[in-house]
Amino acid sequence: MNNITTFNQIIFKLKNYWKNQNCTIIQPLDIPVGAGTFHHKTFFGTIGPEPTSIAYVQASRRPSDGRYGKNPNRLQHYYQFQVIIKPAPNNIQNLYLKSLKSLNINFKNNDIRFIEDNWENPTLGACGQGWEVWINGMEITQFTYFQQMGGINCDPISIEITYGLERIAMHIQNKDSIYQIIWENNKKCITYGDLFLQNEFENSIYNFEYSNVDICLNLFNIHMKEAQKIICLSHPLLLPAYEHALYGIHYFNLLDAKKSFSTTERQQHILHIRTIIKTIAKQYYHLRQQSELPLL
Amino acid sequence: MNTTFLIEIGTEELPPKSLRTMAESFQNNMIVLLTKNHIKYDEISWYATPRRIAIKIEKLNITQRKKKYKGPSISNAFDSLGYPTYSTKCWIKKLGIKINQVSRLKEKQREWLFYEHFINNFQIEEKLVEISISSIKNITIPNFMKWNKNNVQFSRPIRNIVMLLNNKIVKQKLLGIQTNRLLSGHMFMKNNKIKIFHAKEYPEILLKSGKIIADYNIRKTKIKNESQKIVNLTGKYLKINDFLLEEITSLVEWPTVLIASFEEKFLNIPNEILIYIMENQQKYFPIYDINSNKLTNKFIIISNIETKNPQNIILGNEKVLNARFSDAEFFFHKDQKIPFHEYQPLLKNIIFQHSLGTLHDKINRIKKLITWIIQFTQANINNCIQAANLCKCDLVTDMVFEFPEMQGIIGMYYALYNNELENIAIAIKEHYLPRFSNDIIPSDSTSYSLALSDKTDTLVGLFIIGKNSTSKDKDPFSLRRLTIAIIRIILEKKISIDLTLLLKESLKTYSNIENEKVILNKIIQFIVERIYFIYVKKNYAPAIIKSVLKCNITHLIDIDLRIKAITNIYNSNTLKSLILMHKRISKILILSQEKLHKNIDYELAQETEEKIIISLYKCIYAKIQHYLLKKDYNSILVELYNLYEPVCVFFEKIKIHDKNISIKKNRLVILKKIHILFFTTADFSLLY
Repeated sequence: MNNITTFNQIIFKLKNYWKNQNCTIIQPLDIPVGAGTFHHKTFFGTIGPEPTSIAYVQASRRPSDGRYGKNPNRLQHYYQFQVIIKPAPNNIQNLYLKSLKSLNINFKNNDIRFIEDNWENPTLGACGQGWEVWINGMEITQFTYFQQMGGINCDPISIEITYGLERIAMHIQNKDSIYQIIWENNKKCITYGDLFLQNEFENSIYNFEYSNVDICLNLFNIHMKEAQKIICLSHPLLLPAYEHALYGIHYFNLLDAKKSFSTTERQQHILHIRTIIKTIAKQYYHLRQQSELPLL
Repeated sequence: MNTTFLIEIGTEELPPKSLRTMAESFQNNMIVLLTKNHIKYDEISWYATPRRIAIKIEKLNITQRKKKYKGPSISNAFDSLGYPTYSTKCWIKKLGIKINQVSRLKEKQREWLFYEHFINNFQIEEKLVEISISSIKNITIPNFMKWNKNNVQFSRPIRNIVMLLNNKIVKQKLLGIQTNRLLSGHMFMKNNKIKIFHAKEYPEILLKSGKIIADYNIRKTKIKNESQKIVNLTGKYLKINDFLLEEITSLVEWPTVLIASFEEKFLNIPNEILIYIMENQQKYFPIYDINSNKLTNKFIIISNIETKNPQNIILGNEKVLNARFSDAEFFFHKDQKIPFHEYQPLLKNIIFQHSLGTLHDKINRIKKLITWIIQFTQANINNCIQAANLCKCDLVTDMVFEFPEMQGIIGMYYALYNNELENIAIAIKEHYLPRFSNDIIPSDSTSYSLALSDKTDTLVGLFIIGKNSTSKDKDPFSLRRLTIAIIRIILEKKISIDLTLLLKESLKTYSNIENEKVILNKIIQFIVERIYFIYVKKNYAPAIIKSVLKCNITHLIDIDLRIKAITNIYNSNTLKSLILMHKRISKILILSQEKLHKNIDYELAQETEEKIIISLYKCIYAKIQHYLLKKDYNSILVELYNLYEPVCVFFEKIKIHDKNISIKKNRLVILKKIHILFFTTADFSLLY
């Protein structure tokens, strides 16, 4: 038990590895989001020509993925480790594999594969070509060369690496379920289940059964309205506007989990979000150009 | 003489579903350009793995390769003063040579200007580079991407290019990469760079030093044979889907076959879902029981790595599959919490098409339409109504939300669990059939009645809101496929239904339509075009199809019988005679331009031949009316043919023109009557 790499150590090792690859380690976004991609450092960072190189852990929420704590590897709240580098280095695939090696993942006894999975996020107006990385049939990473963000063509191209930390921990610790993962191995062995099982259970019930459609819809509209308002200011406040859009997306996801949309309503909401996000992206790009792209 | 050329593009993992097409298209491009440049060779082969595409050309004929050019003939080459003519000047300019490099060629007592030159190795190298670059750039790629600053686009990032002519690197920077002689071995088994000294060592050197089977077909066969062997040992069997086999072949460089199992309790979930997850999501081969033909809890994993102890890989894959199945189980139980028919009101939340209402509205229209359709299909009304009620319910379930490709199949299972009749459950599944051109069509009368109602409703609805595609190549709403499906169902199930009536009935179920007639005509025109192409595709003569369609009939069975009847006598003397007769009569009728009476006036018939033909016409007319009721077009054509000789005699003996205009007109009426008889089958003027 003492030799096992804990969940905490996995995060630590990845941070360390990517720090040594010249990534700046930053902290998670404090807003409910569906994936690490939504962090403003990724969203804004991939727009325009200025280089970036960052890594962080991001707590992610996907209300529809809740399984009342009963599925061994699906949750409505989980952790991603996100690396974003622009421009994408030529040896990036190798760098990634070395990061797995730094976690002591053995390449000789496991079947590691890159399976085509082209990623698209309609609300962010983003897409890219890439792969799911599988280890013995389990997806542990999403590896994507962004082609578009906020509806703007990426130039140069950023590479996004998103590790599914729970899945990696399950593999390293040889566990059948996320809830058995050893989070910390101090005096008492703390498992993922000790920390989050109750959370999964309660939030699944809330998301699927008790969340109030009217309230969610109201909150969605309030946030979108506010975002809209502050991008129309003479000096637009792009970051706060983006954050309101993120809150909006979260309520949209909650409504989606309750299947409260008809197909067209759903599409209309997505288009509404995307329009705002695209405006933010364009204005941001414009703003950076006006300040003569200081990071170049 | 023994020259080998090799080009290998090393990439990050290529999309498996297009790998083969890309490699083949690379090779085809090469072949086209080699031929165009007169470069001969004995053999060309393509290789493809997830991380590379390669072309090897063997026995390239490059030594002392002569290239010959024939110019203008001597008589045209020089003017009277002995100076080169304009055409000679053009010819030498095109070749980039001077007049003193030109020789003469004698052939069959004539003489031509002639130029030949030898291509040396250096030039062929340059040509091969040129050909390779152009071939790569024109590879058929479904989805391009960029990955670095130099803006090169390809299917996936290109990281390495090896280009060898025999043992020599063809030095070149292409697609932003300097060519070299280093191949990559298997990423995990070898993780090495292999120096290839000679192009002919490919692909063997990869196998020997890199643990890579570069030959796609060898890999494919290996996967198939070894999987089958392992499964045969267990006394079970595999149904290998070729698409999946291709995909898996494209996913591995060193296939290793492993057998694994999942928890038996999951076999209670509808098996199509399990198979779908195994095949489409996890890329496994499911294993079936040899006696019962049923799915077992065993499956085949094709791993990309060979290890001493594969237990790790097997256990890992089993865990993933169990977790995925557990997810399906979750949806399955969640969906079962309410009875299947109670999903129906939820269809009010799903829009069918903007301004065509919800799926709930669609169901109501389908019910009205199917009630009318069953008079032609003899399906049971109650079953049809219930099948219509339930056919879209699964679209609201979690299972279909998660696995959209399972629509219909899930509905069938849920209907069965809720004790609906079997043929209702099957209709829910089958009303989506046929989904593509060679797909099967619904089997049971409830199924095809429902399929016909649903598809007609969609077709008519989309035309009402103008979503019918006007452009020739694009069919965003799959209306062509839908129409072909409708036609196939009617023909293959021999439903004696008139399309115009069907469409009119469907239009009635929509409220407040403007321009109903215009819409109806547009749809009919659209359908008629599809009918035409269906028969063309079946190799029926276009003229015959057109001649039948010209009669403005929309009764498919009728159209089918007519086309077949004419085809039966195609190229025969019978048809030739019929055409001849029709032609002669048409000519006279067109020329006459007289206003004719409707009926023949027997009093005005003077000559014997005239009388004969009238009585014959009367007799044949009656027979044809009789055959028409039975849609017996073969017999109708025979009857028409019986008129041929008498009509010939008629033309021979009788002059149409007569001083008495009434007599003349009456003769024309006789001809017109016969002419009209032809239209009972087709417009023969299109068969000339």
